[in-house]
Amino acid sequence: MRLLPHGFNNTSQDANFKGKAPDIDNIAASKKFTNYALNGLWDNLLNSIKKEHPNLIKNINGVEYIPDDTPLRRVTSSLKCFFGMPLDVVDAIARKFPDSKLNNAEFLQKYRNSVQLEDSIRAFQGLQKNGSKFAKEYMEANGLPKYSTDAEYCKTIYDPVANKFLEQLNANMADDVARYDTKKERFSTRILSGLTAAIFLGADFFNKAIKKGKPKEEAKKEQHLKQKQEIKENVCEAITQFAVFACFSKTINKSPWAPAIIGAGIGLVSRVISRLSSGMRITRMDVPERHKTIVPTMNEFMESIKTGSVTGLLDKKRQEYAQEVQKDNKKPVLSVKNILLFCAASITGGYALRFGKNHTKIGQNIANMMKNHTEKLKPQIIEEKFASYDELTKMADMFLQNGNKNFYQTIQGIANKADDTDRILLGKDFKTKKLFGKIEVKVKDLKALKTAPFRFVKELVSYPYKIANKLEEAVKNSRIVKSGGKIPKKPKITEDKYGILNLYKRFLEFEEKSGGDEAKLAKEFGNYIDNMILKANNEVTSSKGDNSKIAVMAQTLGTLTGMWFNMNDEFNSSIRNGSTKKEAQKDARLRGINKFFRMTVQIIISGSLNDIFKKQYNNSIASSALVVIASTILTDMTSRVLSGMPFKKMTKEELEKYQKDHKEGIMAGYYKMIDKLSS
Amino acid sequence: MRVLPVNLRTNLSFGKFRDDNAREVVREALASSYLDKDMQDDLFKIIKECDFFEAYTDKKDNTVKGRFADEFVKSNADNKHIKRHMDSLKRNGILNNLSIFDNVDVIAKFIPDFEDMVKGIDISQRYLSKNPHGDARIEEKAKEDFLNNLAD
Repeated sequence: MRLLPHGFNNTSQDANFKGKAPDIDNIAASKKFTNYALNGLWDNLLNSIKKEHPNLIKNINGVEYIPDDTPLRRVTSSLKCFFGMPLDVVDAIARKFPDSKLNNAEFLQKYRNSVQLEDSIRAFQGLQKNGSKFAKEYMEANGLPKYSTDAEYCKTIYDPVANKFLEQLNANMADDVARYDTKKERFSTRILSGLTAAIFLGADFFNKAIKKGKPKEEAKKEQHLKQKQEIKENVCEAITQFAVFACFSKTINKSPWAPAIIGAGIGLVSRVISRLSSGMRITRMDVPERHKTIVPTMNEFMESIKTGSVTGLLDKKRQEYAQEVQKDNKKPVLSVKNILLFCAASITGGYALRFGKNHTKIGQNIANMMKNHTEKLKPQIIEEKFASYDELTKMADMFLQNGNKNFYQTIQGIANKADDTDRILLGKDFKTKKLFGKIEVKVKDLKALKTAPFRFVKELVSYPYKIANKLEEAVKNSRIVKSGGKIPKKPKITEDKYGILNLYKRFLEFEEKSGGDEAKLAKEFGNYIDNMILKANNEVTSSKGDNSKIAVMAQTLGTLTGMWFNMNDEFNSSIRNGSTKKEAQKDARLRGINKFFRMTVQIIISGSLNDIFKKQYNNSIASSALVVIASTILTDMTSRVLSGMPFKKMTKEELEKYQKDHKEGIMAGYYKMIDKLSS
Repeated sequence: MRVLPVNLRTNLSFGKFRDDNAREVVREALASSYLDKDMQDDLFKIIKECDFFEAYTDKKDNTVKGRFADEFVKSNADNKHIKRHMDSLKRNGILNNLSIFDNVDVIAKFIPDFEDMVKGIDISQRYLSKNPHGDARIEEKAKEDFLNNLAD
């Protein structure tokens, strides 16, 4: 195999190219390895792109490549992606009716072709990197020198590189990998969760006005004011995030801080703009203090003269005034000092438990007991995954029919491991069951639902400790990276012995769908493989941000800022409805409690639903939308019940009954505590 | 590489291309591919030097086909791994037409596998994953991103 000689890059490029052109040795290497591993995919992609977009392709001494996007191309591509989202919805619906006019409509075919071209360009740009990257990884791991022109030497690299591509393909077929553009998923999640939450917030503002005796029309004005502001905030944030991450994702993802800081910044700007444009204040209104007067009314005075108790009346008024002033001077339970004390207690408690677990005998015994308990539970949630020799060879044959010879060779080689029962152990995976006979979910996620209430309480009390712990981990990780080390991986309890378990699972799904029609299976599985190979190499549509916990500070700041804005909205709305300053402050604190509960409940409910329906969530944007809407509705309802707020619009009578039930019902003690917390 | 012992080789010319046409057709099949010249030569060499596989022109239909030496098949009749590999090639029609580059490519890939299997090497070992347990942090990050992206 002859690669380009060393330094071909430097000698062949003139001054105009230097600094902008890629390393041509790498591009040439990528071409050779990709063509070998993926059966001429490099040439095929390049030819198809050349037909539609010849100007994209550059050439340095016979080596053709597609350069990284210019800023203009990034912008136009992002705009196409954004405005194409409605067509994605139409496309998804049309595909369900293959013989319909819509599915065969010209505009839709054109759109599909343009999406296919864009995917091909992105995949090709990914292959330009991955081909040489996989070769270098193998060469470095085996102490081999840089690219050589020696044929025997190069041959030793070809097969490991082909296996890397297979590993990459397998990884992209996992249940927890989205089958669609991450940018679009983030956008739709943000919009749908925001719009759903806006409905509940509008109902809150409606109820507050009704409770204060305002007529329905005025209450509706309050409702619409808040809803419009929330919708504007979420739309602004979703669109800005989409635009920024679409155009600048590479730059942003280079830094561990940038995504979270930019995200928090976008959030802050959206909150301010949405309020100002809706005519709402950002800060709290100035409200003068209203003290009860020490002076009795004329009627009270005349009455006291008649009964001869003027002194008594004045004493009573003095006492009432003193009590009022005492109440005003009394600090709220949720004062800054108390909140800081709670944080300190949480952090200290968390670290004390950790110390105890690692350094005391009792702690270690408890930890071992828990470990043993977890080991005992493992067989209930994990099982060994076997493949039959016949199924595996059938899958191998499908790859061959689709032209993927290297993958065919690998899978046939693995199939040879079959034991006397003609079975091969592929690894270990989570046990699943079918809900309602159709929806496949993991048993461990269903079992985790039982502990949801305990996890909620744990999240509540340990929130400050969690932040401190993440910061500590972030500092540790950045020290490791700075010293040239690698952050240690966290092995999963599942196992994929040969790196083909996901491939095999997807193959079985296609086989089930094809209903015994071999030709249909070969065609559909083949198309799926081709699309997944492109997707696996498409770095632009998948989010590959750094997993640095150091962003947790920016995230927390964003959350707390959001709470502050919402508490101010609550305060101002109370004042508009005729509340005193004290009452408005109490309402604001209650909103803060509700937001804190909501944040914690969201981790449990949305986290659980995302886990349970992960496969469906990652299958399509439509399924992900359903999961998001359901989890937001449950989150908002639950957080309101927990903070003693109604979760739907009510009449004055219904609101009074609601309050009465809280004071007298089974949960009276709990709601009394919430009332004290917000006072 | 010599797989069959010399005294079992009854046909001294087995393992080379049976006829010039077979040689030329296989050469052309390789030349029509996306592989560069050196790789083409390597694959050609693998087939040429294999002493248990032969490319020949079938006089009935003038197609260049492939076959394994009878001695090789007989001496490895009890080796289910080799039998499975040969069955796979036959099932997929790989041996039926060596004017197709894909078929030549597959045979050239399988010959080293056969050589290893004859030596008793478990070829599935080379496909064991270096990272079978993956990295849980990737999933954790995805979940964190999802939760952070929800409206608060």
